[in-house]
Amino acid sequence: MTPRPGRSGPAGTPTRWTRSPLALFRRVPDGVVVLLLPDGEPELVTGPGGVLWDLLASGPTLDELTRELAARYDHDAEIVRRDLDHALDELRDRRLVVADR
Amino acid sequence: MLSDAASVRALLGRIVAWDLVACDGPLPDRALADLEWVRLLALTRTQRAEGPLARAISAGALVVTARQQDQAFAAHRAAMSLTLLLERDLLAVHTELTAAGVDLIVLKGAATAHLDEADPAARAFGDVDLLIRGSSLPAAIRVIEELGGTRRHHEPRPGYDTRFGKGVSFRFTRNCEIDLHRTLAPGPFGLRIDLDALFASRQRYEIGGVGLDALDRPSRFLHACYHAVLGDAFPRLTTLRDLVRTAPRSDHECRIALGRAARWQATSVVGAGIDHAVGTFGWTPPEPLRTWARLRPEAAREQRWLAAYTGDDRLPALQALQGLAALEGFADRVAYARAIAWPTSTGPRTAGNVRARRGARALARIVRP
Repeated sequence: MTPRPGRSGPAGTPTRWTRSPLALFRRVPDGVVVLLLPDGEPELVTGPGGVLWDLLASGPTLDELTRELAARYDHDAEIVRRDLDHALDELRDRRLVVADR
Repeated sequence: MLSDAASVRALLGRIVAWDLVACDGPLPDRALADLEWVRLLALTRTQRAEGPLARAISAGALVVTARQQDQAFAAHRAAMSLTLLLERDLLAVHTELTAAGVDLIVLKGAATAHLDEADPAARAFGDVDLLIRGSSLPAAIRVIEELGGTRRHHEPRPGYDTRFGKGVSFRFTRNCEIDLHRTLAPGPFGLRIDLDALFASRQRYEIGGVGLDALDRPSRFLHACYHAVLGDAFPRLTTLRDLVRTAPRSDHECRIALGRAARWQATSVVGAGIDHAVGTFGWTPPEPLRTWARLRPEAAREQRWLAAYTGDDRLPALQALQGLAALEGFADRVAYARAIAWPTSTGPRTAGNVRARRGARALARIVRP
């Protein structure tokens, strides 16, 4: 199991999350179809995962993602942050996103 | 009411162009009846227009039932899954060809999706098209065959592929087709293209962190014209969309594109392509292209060539014969004539061999009246 990166890098620099350059993707009305190079198969990411995928285009921090999604869905920020933490870890384990410290 | 194939195509044309600047054509203000929808969806798949259909529905521009929306979105997901698989294959082929020293340029959908659409999901494609120098074709063919590709058609005579052919198509056991192009069109128009100029003018882009080369924008416009006018009996709607998306937007771009068309004896092809896009999409080309299209000169020889490619009277044999007039040099003409009149391929009776035999019979009638 790949060790989890901290949520901040050297000297407290926040971790920024980006899509892996090895992840090919296409936006579809009900989500995002993603394929991981070199030999992955297409898979559909739906719902909040699709929204998260769009937000990763700008390389946001966890705090920035939390603020954006909490405002967009009018949810409690702490709950959103916890869910995002899990989602980002899962996407990282699947090698679809990269943590840039 | 979509009562016939022409009306289905007309509606799909308006859907394909609904988000294009300077195109018009109303979309229905009610959902289609079931049979009409089945016909439209079938044509959408044939034309690889799943992207524009899904986007028109998402934007509320096309009224559909919930079931129709589900079907359209499912078709789009399937089309996008295929494009991602093809991009995966493209990157693998690119790696192997580059390692073998083969220079290549990515053509058509795999390039235009990224370079000419705001969202690549608007452009589906069903195969990978690569431009390869004729001298590199033997090496490229070996690479593709080692990767598991099987040629669809044999060359009529050894050496035909590298000197005269439009290209070579390969099928794989999985859902993938790779086309290696030596030039952009069959017959005389393809033989008149300055291939060195094509390779000299490129545009870089990336897929999966890998740098790839496409034709530059003026050449992508010309290729869309070639493909729309010379490729099928009736232009593919997504190709016409590519034509509109890559049309020259400035005096400078126009000079480049139309200058190449003039040198390659393809102004009739460009004019016909613009006419198709205007007629199908209600497109108003940007100036100065619009004025050029209205006042363009009609070269008699190009018009004769064009007649063999268009409409229901397409004649591949005549295209092959007209290639003789497009070639310069006695040696090339002799080699070309031998290849189409007396093919030596012992392969299966494929479409290419059928075309070659028709050309041989037609040539024989001319040689021995």
